Amino acid sequence: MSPKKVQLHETSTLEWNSFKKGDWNAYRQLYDVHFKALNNYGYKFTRDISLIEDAVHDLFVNLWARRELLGNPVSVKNYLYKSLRNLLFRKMETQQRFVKIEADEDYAFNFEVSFDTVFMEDESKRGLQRKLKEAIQTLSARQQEIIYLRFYEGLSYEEAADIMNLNISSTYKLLYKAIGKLQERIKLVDLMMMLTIFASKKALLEIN
Amino acid sequence: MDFSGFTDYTFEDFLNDDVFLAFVVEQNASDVLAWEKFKAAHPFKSKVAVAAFETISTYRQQKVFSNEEAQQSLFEKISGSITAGEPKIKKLSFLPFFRVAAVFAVVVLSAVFYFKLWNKDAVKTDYGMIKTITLPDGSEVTLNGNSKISYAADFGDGPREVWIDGEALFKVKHLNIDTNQIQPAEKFVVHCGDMNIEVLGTTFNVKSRHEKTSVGLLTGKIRVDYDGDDKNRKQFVMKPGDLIKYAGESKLIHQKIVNPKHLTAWINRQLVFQNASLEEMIEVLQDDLGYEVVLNDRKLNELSVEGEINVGSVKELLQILSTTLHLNIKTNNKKITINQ
Repeated sequence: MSPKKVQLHETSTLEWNSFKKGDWNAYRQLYDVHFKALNNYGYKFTRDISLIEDAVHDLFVNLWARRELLGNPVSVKNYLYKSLRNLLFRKMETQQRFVKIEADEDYAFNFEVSFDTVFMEDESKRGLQRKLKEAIQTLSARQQEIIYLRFYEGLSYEEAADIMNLNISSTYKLLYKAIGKLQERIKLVDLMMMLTIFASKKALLEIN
Repeated sequence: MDFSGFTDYTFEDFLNDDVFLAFVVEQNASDVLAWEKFKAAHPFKSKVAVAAFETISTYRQQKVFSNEEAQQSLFEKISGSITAGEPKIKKLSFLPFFRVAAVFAVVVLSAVFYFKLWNKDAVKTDYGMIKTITLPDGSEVTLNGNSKISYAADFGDGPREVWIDGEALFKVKHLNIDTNQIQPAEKFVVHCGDMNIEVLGTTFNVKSRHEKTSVGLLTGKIRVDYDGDDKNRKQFVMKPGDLIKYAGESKLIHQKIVNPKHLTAWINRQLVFQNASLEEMIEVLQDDLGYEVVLNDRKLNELSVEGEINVGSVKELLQILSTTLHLNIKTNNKKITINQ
């Protein structure tokens, strides 16, 4: 099974440096390489596409204007994610008239992934997906985002903490809580049962 | 990759493990082979691993929003904005800038003839406002919110003197040529509360609020003088990286700056705290940004957040406080109410 995903593109230091020196082609390259992933990430926070495009626009205009002042981020992709996230948050905040912060409710907006069902032929896998979907929906937006950055983007704790503006220890806590909640919901025993049925079916098919 | 070390892992351990996660995300051919072997060799023990593997893989089965249709047109819009902005940047190129500077200097000079010595300039910032000003000698001062600086419109031949109330970052222009012979005009003195800070040329951060003063030195050398606990004037020479704290007629506390970037993070509107108590954070919210913070229990002041907080907005700070300290935080305009 090959999960469908945004490809993990990254910009090399060489490309980044020529962009900083004002190389327009390198700048265009930077845009093209990261455009899709940035849109995909932004879409998790809002379904307002013009808002995402505004944020991407501002991100790249700022990038060009400030190119000589920029440092050398460890990962260009993470740097762009973080900047886009900040821009998007600011834009969404100005759009929202009433801002309320309650104890456990974290962002005033959602974080939402849409699961792909198209390539799910196997019934047991569909079952797992359904369970996972239900479990994910019980998580807070912040917990959902950390799960996304870890499981989907494959980021380390440090990288996820940096993007989410958190310190490492709160990131650990956040993820532990999220995973704890997931496990409670999914129930490992059910999951293993489901997968065993799946495996034996597959084995049967192979024998036949 | 060797999976045999994973046999004692719980489901949660797997989902938290960087190495395992990297394997599921990347699925290198060689790792997949090792994975299959591991499953075959440990049909029972590998079950938890398989469950974790399938959970992550299933999660990764997501719809992608690439917005490809807009890729070209949005780039054209970006280039448009950049070219539209370019003339503005060109205006700031060197030659015209110096012309402006020269004109400004003339105005100041003619004014100086009339207001010399007794005329003091003052700049005050509102809550949440950050402002950089250039002093008559070319030194730069960045003021944090709710801060005030006053200084003579002309420093003349005497020492350069400024008075500060609030928080400021100084970049003092070095005028001294011979360190063995310091001319009065080469001195730069900051007065804050009961403390005087004497400088040659340097970068340092001063915070003077509620009769408490802290000075962090980034580059250069400065000398502070203050009222000691025995009412005598005392002196202390600071070296780069030094941080001192002082509250009128008390002992001077001498520390090292842990992270210089944290000391000046406020310039970029970042809220940075290191192992800070809630009280310290509330002070910043009230003093710099003009919030009114109400605690339903004064004991809450003693709560603290271990490690580093580094955020760009008050909202994010409150979110972190509410999740890490399990507090119920409500905001209403500039009023923040914190309950257990």
